[in-house]
This record gives sequence, C-alpha cells and structure tokens, in this order.
Amino acid sequence: MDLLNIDYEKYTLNNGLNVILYQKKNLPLVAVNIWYKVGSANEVKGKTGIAHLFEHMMFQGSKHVPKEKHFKFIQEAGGTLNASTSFDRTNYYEKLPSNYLELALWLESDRMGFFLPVLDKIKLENQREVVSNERLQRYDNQPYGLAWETIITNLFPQNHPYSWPTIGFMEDIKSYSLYDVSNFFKSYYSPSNACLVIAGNFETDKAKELIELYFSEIKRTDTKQTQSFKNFKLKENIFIHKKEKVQLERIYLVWPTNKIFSKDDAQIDVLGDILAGSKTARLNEQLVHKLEIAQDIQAFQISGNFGGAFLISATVKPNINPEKVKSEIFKSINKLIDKGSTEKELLKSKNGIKSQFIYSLQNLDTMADQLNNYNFYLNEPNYFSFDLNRYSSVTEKGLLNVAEKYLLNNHLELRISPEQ
Amino acid sequence: MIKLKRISAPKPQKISPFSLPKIEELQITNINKIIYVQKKNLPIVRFSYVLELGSRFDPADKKGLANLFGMVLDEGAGRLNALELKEKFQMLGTNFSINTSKDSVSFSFLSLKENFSKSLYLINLILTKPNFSEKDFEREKSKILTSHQQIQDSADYIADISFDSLIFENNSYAFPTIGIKDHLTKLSLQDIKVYYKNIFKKAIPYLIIVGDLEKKNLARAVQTKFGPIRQYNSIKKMDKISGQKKTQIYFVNKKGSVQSGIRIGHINNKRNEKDFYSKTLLNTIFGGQFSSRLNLNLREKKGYTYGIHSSFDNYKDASVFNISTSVSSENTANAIGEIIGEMEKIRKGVTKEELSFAKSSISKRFPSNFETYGQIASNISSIIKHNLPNNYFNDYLKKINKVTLNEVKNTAVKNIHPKKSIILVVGDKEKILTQLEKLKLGKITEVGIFGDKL
Repeated sequence: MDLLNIDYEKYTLNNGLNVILYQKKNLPLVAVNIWYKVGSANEVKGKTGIAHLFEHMMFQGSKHVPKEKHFKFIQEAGGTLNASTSFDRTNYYEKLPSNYLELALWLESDRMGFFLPVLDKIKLENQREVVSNERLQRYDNQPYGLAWETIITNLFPQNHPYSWPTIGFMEDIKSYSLYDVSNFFKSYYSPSNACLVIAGNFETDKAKELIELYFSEIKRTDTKQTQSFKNFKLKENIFIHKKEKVQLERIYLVWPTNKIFSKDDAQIDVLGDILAGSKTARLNEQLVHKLEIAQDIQAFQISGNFGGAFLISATVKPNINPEKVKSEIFKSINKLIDKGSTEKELLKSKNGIKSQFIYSLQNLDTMADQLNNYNFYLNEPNYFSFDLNRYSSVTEKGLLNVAEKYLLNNHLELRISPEQ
Repeated sequence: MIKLKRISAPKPQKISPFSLPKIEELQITNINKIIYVQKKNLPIVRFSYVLELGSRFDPADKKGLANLFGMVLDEGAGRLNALELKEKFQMLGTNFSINTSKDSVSFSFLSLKENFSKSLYLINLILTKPNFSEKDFEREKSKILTSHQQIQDSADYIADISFDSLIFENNSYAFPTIGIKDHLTKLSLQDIKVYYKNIFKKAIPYLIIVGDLEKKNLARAVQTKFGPIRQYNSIKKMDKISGQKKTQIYFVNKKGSVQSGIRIGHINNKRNEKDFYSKTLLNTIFGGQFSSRLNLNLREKKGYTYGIHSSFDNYKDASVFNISTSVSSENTANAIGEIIGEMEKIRKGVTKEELSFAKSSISKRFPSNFETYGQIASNISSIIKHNLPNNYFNDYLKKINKVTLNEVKNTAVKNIHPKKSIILVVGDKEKILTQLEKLKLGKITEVGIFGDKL
C-alpha cells in the first residue's frame, strides 16, 4: 500500500548519532523524537527504576537551560512534549510549529551534551519525590495496580532484564545517589547510542545544517552493553494468590513467548486478538456474552529485545466460582488448538489491524515514534508496509502452530481476590 | 553558515501559513444541523451523530437510564444479533462507539473512506431498528451493575463522582452518568423501549462529518438515511445551583490508601463569550499545563505529587472550577494548604510575563488542535454544544490576544474562591483526619463513596 511507504532519509553523524528525516508538509508542524537505546532492561538489581528516574532528570535543565525552562520554552512556542521509558528504550519527544525546529534541536542537544555540569542534589531529591508519587498514583494506589509487577518478577528468571518493573521498586527509588545518576548518564547517553527522528514540515538542507551544528560537537562515549538472554520455559506451573482491597476476583494467566519481531511475534499478536481483542472474540463471546461469568477479559502479548510474554486476564463476575472462569478459558484455548481458527475470524482480525495502521498515520508524533521504533528493532525506519504484511500473511495454520507451541507450555497464574 | 550559540534560545524562523479547516453546513430539510469538514490527506472519515440527551435528563428515579440505553441500543439491530452486528463493523475495520456524558449521547465511527457508506448503513440500522431483546438487556444491565460495584476500588472515580455530587447538590448534574445502583436495579426493558420511542426518536440530532467526500453525494446519503425527525421540545429547565457559602472539607474514608485524591473547587458562571478568553488564559497560568503555578509549586518545588491540574469544566448549562491531584497521604494537608495559598495569590493578579507566555502558548499551539480527524470533530462538537457560530475559530486568537492584565485579574477575583470552595479528600481516615483538622479551613464532614451523607 502506497500510503504506508514512507519516504525518508537516514544518515549518521561523525559522533555516531543516527538521524532520520521524514518530510510531511500538510500542516505547519514538526515532530522531534529521540530514542536512547537504554531502558529498565539495562538496570541492575538494587537500582531498579533508574532509567525512568533519569528520564525525569533530563527535564531538570542542562548547562544553558535553567531548571523548569525546558518545558517553558517548548510550551511558549506552542509545542507539546513528553518522554517515556520502557524495558528497552527511553524516548523524548516534542511537536512544535515548524518554525521552531531549531529550538527543539537546541534543547535536545543541550541535555545530550551538557547535562552533567548542572546536575545537583536538590533536583534529584525533588524528582525522587515526584517519581515516588508517580509510583503510588499509577501502581500502589490503583486496584490490581501491582499485578504486572508480581507477574514479571515471578515469570522471568532471576536476573532476567525484564524481571523488575520499569518504574522501579520503592526502596530502590529511595536509594539512588547523585553518583548513580551521573554514572547512568555516562554509561548510556552517548550520541552513538541514540537516534534522532525529525518528521513534518521542514526544509531538508536547512534541517541537516542545524542538526550538524547542534549535535556534531557532542563527544561519543563508550556505552555499556547488556547481555542478551536466551529464551526460557517454565519448569513447572507457577501459582500465586494475593488478597487485596478489590471488589472482584481477577485471574491472570501468563506464558513466556519470544523476542519482538521474531518469527512467531505477529502470529501471537493475532492469537490475542482472536481470543479477546474485541467483543466478538472467542473468550468474550463465551465468557462475557454467553455464560456471563466474566466482567471483562483481555489477551495480548508484550515483547521486546530480551523476550516476551502472552497474557490473558479475566475479572470474575460477582458470585461466580473463579475455577469455572479458568476452566472455560482453557476450554476455549483447547478448542482453538483442536479445531483451529476460522477463515472469517482471521479476516476480521486482519481488517481491523489494516485500518488501525492507516488511522495511526493521522498523528505526526505517532509516526515519528514509529519510525524510531522500526529503526530501533529492525534498523529500517520504513517498515510500515512490511509490518502490516506480517499480520496480513498470518495463516490459520500459523496461528494453530503458535497456539500449540506456546499455550501448551507451563504458565504462571496470578489470582487477586477480595480481602473479606 | 549559521553560527553555534548555545547560551540562549534560538529565534524562530519565519512562521509558516496555516489555514483553518473550512466548516460547512449542509442544508438538508428536516434535520437539525450537519457540519461537514473536507479533509483530504488520508482516505478516512470520522462521523458523529450527537443528541443532546445526556444523563442529566435521566428521570429523578431512573438515574443511569441514558447510559444503559446507550449500552443496549447497539446489541443487535435489523436481522443482526448483537455479535453479528459488531462483527459487521469489524469486517469493515470501522471503530464504532457510543458515548454517553452528562450533556449528550453520541454515536461515532472512524472508517476507511471506502467503507463509509457501509458503516453509515450500520449506524442507521442501530438508530432505527434496534432489537431490544430481553436477554441482551439483562446482560448489559448486569454489566453496568458490576461496573458500579467495581468503581468503588478506584480513588479517582470516587473523587470525581463525589465531587460532582457535593458541588451540584440536588441539581441533575450532580448524578453520575453511570447511575445510582438502586435505580439501575429497578430499570426494565420497558423503560428502555419507552425512552426510545418518546425521547430518543423525537430528539433532533446534529451530525459532524470529517473526511474526503463529495459534498453532493454526502448530502444525499445522509438525507436518505437520517431524515426526517420531528422536533422534541420538552427539554427541562435547569434547577438553580446555589453554590457554596463558605469553604468546607469533605472526606471519603478509603482504608489502606497510600495516597489522597484531592479535588478543590466550586460552581462557576456558565461559559460565555465575555469572560471565556480571560478564563482560558487565567487557567493556563494557574493550573492548565505543566509550567503552571500549581504544578511548578506542588510538583517541581515541593515534590508532593506526580502532577496537579486545574480547569473550568464547561457543561452546557453549568460550569465548575476544579483543581485535581493525588498526593502521598502524609502530605495531604500540606498540599491543600499550598493549593489554597495559590488560589489566594492568583486573585492578586498575574505578571506581564505570565500573560504573554500564556498567549504565546495558546496562539502558537492553535494549528496542532486541528491535526487529527477526531480533534476536528470534537472542536466542532464544542461549538455546537455552546451555541457558537460556525466561524468561531476564525476570531479565536484575536480574542485571546486582546485580553489585558487587568481583565485576567478581575476574572481571577470573580472566578476563583478559596473561601467558598469544596475541598474533597479521598484517603485513609486514620492518616488524614488529624492533618485536616490542623488546617482549620472549615467544617470537616465524612461522606460516603458517592458523596452521600452518612
């Protein structure tokens, strides 16, 4: 499909910084999006969450940008900005009126090259409090908010880079020192460990000149590598039962899968969609619609550089035996493995995925981020069509294969029940 | 060759032109209002069918009716049962949704251009030939009752629902869209059918369509599908909302909470053209974005919270000033003290720099409010909601930039009332009560999870 064929230019500065340019001139906007190849997977036990805390510190000013000014400059220019940290990477992004491209490059290059001179204890203590509150607000104080943390700490083998949460454990958040922060910067925030995407309304020659001007003088440093981790299987089923302040019981079933963009990756995504991606998906039809034993149900995969997991979760309706819900989930899985999927449900899933690809082209910042995503994992930014093709070429047989290959293995089960 | 100068922020280049999307009104007999915006860059269409029939019109003993109606309406239509109908949308790759709020109920979809007609056919089927089967009704009713039970787990839901309940007292805006449990239990399929026949079918919709379509064909397609509809006149007048006389503290005891959810605010005069622009600027400076006074103080200076936000929430017939945040339990009173302090402070006015920052931010950000199909549709829907002219956005920036320092100050004095606010805290009583008492800001009352008197 032509729409999904993105015309881009990619090159590397002398200091190793990757640059991707993509012109789209329908609006006077420009998106700037940087991915640093560092996430919580690069952390060590005892210092979990530092990649994310570090992301916060990057907004606390740099040598030529006073504290609080980073946000102010961009917002005053009519821009929006934020950042996020995941297992594998940290991204920083802003979208501005196109005549402010240089402002964004000045700010991004200043914190890439001149972060350390103005780092201080007051900033760290402040953001430590902010991040502690973020953890409380988004996880500890949310119903079922600690489920994900419980799952990954028990599913992934000890020392696996995904065996701790990206937000970090509270006692670790309380423990980082200034040395930890500056050391983290030195270990990972080299231009050679980053990729800068500029998407939107700009003149190529001018943009290149500005990028060279602001970024080329930043020296590259050696970055730490994290060892890759072999795929693993669970030796036996794991069962964890927790009681929490919730009204309804929830069941989580989790199976280890594979790395992102590996052979089975797209099939497993479609498997999730067919099981519980919509109200007409198998588990929804059976458990929510027909039997009315579950309030809601989800099935999806998360995968990254170091592995993946397939997760099914269901909230049990009041006065229903959770065992019934669990056994119905397995019945549906076994039926799928026994009889396979139908042509129609596969088509339904593929049509949905195709539309979502096209809808996602509406946002300049989403596109800039996707270019970085493909480049990060596949070293090829223009992967939209290929990616869609991964999904449209999934076959009934392929689906059956991955269901057999993964869902018949040992799994982890987490139960969260009401306290009373 | 440009010279590198890191010491100060670089100047912007020449500004690129931006033209607003053209808002057109299609003239079709017997139908309220059809707003069309041609947008060409992608082969997609965004469609909304909106009725001003929100949950605030729920009868006094049937709170939750509009919302449950929305849930039941798309459970099968024509010869299609609930699942077949949903499957049809999925086959088209169309994202269809029904959304009920206090002011309106909307039926929207995002579809590929090639599937627009088929999606339109399906939405029309839902609106005109719903199945209303007993089984579907009972299932959806049971779902909403379960949701009702589940929201008790969430501090945010509790805070939002009880805040509205305290702010609006006996006004119909006081009740949550999701409804009241005892009312929901008693609702029957007959209620839904009566609602459909007497209220829904007689209400006049407005349609918002954004996409790359031929105007003439579009008018024809819509005319055959959606006209004519008879006028429905009996929209109720709003009950008067009295507002607070003096500041009072309410709290919901959520045992075991590690944070306190805080809402502070009061009733405000209804959205009107006279002070809308100065309110917008005032709120931008006070708590409307990251670099606001509230956020810089409570997050970036004190570290009490992950974030704090304020807004003038403009309903069709009412407006509320609302500050909302979550803070660690031990800082509950400290945070409230700082917020009240900021409310007092802003009544003394803002600085020239602050005002010019806010104007710059809003003006320069303007083009990005029209990036996606959904953003455009939602902007139009707010024009209609507040009875604004179709060329509303043409003068928007001019009006923003005309606001003076003095006007912002007056607006603050008239619209931010630290001494006449409701302060609501959702948290662990044991951890917060002594703190709240020490604040000495007003009477402290414990309320139930929906803001109800205990």
